[in-house]
Amino acid sequence: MKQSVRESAIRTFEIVRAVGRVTFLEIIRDKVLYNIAVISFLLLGAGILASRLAILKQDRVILDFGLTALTLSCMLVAVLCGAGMLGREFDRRTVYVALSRPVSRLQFVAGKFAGLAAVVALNWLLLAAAYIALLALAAHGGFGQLAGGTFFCALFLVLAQALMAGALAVFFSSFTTTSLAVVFTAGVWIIGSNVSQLRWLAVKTGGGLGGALDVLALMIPNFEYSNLGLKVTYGVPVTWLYMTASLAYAVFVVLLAVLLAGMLARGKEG
Amino acid sequence: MRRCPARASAASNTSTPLLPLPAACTTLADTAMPNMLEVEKVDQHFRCGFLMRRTQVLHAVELRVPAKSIFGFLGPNGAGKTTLITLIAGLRKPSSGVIKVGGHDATGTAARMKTGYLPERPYFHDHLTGEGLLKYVGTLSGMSRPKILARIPKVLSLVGLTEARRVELRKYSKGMLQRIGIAQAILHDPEFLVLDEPMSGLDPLGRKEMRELIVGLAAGGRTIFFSSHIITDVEAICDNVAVINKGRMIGCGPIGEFLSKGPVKTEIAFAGVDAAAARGIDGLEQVREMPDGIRALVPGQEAVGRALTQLLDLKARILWVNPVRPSLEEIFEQPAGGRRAP
Repeated sequence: MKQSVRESAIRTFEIVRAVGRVTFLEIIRDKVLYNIAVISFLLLGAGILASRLAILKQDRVILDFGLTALTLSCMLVAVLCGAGMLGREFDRRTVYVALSRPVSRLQFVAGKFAGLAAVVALNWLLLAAAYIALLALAAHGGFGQLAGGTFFCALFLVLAQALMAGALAVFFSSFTTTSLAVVFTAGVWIIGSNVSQLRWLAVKTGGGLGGALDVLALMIPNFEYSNLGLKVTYGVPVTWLYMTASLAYAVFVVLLAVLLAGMLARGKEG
Repeated sequence: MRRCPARASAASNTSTPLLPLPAACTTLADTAMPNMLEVEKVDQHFRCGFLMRRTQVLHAVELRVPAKSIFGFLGPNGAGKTTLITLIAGLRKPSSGVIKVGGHDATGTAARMKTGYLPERPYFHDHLTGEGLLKYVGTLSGMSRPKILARIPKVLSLVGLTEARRVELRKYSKGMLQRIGIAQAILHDPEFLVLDEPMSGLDPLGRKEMRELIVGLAAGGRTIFFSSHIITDVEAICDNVAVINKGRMIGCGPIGEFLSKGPVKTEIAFAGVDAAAARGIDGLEQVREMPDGIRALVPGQEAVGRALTQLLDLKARILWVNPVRPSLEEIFEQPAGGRRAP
């Protein structure tokens, strides 16, 4: 029994790795990826220009611009590449080759997400390296003073946030079109990044609408947990417990979205 | 997104069997060979359109394919061939009924390990090389890496793509794509091959090569089930066929028996007689002047002798006399009353 579970786990890992590798190679040939990367590097550069225009806290401007550029870039890659992934496989019927083998749709979807996650992580790594290099070169007050523990925690949580968005894009793409999946994911991200405002609004409105807003705030993935923008700007420290809880939450959202996508993909033609 | 198989969805209840349909469509019923494929009372329906209307595509399809045979699956475009094939390949479960491959449920792991599948107009990730695609499908088939690496050269050599193994699939011709499609289907050495329109879009040389490849694969003891809407492709390599139209099995048996139910025509080519005189001959139709003489069609077997006698009386030089195979469409278009009794 134990042996069979182990074999099954190894087999699943092999399938996820094989599908993920093919997906990774497919995405990195996509021109959209390079357009996003170029825009992100330009945004990083724009931070330096904007800092020259600021009278005070010039280093903070570079810091904020950089973090925003990194977040936007990772989110765009995750959402734009993730939303079209499953639909393209089914439309072009490349999925037939995989699903006619002893491969479940959940394993296939997990593999697709793994490939997307690898691309997002690579994009994050390159941009984060460029960002850190830029800070080291351009910060007037010294890199160490600017980029503390909170800064590095924020960098990791940007990746977690992008992976959550990517998983949601894959989930939406399992039952709708690419363009709608982009719209839905962007909508969930925007609302999910403002959950505290949603709760505040629920308290202010009260009654049935307030209750509905409360339920929405509870159900929608909370992206605020992985947004340390203000804490980075003001240098507020982050505890290990907060980091662990935020990462665990991100992992939970990713697993749930991929699981649901795998179940919903069964209904797709193929 | 679900696609509605439009033509099959227009299934009517007017299909009349061309050949007697046994309780289950088994072509080699008398042989002791076990069945590789068993399809029992399979219905398939889809929900289409904004109102999600239920459209039935397959109607109580029954079929049995003996092991180690080459079995042709004929039907016009939109008849439901690909729908049934996707069910056989285990890509989805039928709405009702049972499909078994080698005694196992078609959607289960055991059946899929036994099956190799070539989709219609195969689409692969075109950024992969031929070798890369085979490594990918080998892993998905549960093969170990050493086994994959040992098997790839053999399979590529069998389909004649050894030279192109490191070329990206986007640079492959249509014929090469079909051959790499066969290669990925046989990589894990399956007992049962399901080929959906393997000759589709190939030129005459490509079709010939594909026929030879299929015969070669069958010689290795595999069971081959392949679909086509072109009779000559099936006739060349299969002894037995099943025929589907509008989602219903309408015939099953030896191909020759099936063809004899179609309109029988004979083409006569001759020289030494002018076209005007030829048009006056009783029984000759569609008289066409060609550089090497005249060709004409004679409907029915009985008129051939009469037409030939008249031509010889006119001192014509007979170039050839050929039976003309009816197309599937011609057979299906016949009024039911016009068919011979089975």
